[in-house]
Amino acid sequence: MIDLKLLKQVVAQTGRGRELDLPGADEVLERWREGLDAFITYYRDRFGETVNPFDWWKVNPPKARAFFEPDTLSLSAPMKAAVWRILLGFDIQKIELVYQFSAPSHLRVELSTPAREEIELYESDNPADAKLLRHLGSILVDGQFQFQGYHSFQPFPGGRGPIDANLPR
Amino acid sequence: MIGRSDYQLVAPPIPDLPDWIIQVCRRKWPDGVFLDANETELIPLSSPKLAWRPQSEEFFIFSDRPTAEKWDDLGPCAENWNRMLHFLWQPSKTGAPAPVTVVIDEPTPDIQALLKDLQATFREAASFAPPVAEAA
Repeated sequence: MIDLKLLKQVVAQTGRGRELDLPGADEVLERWREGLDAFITYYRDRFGETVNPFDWWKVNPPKARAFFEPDTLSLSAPMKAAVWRILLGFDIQKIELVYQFSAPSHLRVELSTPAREEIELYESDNPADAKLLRHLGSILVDGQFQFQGYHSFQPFPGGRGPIDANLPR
Repeated sequence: MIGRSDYQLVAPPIPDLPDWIIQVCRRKWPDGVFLDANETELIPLSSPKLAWRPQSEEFFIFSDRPTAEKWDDLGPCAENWNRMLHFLWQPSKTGAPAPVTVVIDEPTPDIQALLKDLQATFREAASFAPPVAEAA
């Protein structure tokens, strides 16, 4: 089970956990923890691998910051898994989003391994999962736009959460 | 790097710039490999292993593994002409844009197109940089 104290510390280090400054922070944190536990279980069941999100801090803080974005922490387990795979370099092949006020929504993400050997499908009916989209990076290849990568918005320099200090290692 | 040319690009102040560079280069060279300037291990651009390492400040991207493996023996030559890119950058600590040096053999149309894609991608990446007013 995810350590609540460590999670709070890590979210603070992202510099973007302003939710935790507001009333109800404990409930938010508990929800994030449950979400991470669900993600770890989902990932293990689907890919047979037990992942530890805190490992990102040890080797690649920018990816850690992206994964511990409050937006990411709010995603469903399948979409967290999609984010994890994108952070690993998987290609975004296709995205379909259906959203309508007061109606069922649907997000479908297709990823492929960088070698394009197989397609992985991720689906969700949670409209909040659309938050994933705002962190997708985009690159230009032969002048053509492509989605690639998942990123955190950088906080103010010198603001809360210097990324290379006091991180759990 | 005698005989090679330096090109200066400008990147936004983001800490994961090499990731963006690698993804663009991987589209050009799907079989490309990465080499940190301070290490010896060649890592395929398509390998998840690249995600599990720190962001490098100086690195090489080769078009393919055989080119990389023979580079030390051959040096720049006709056989590997324009098949290796050398990148140098430093993460901005002030919030100012960061220069990125790309060392190439020759600015052929292919390489010029790649440099143009990289600079355009850096503009895309700028949306993840800190707000300007606070970054000065």
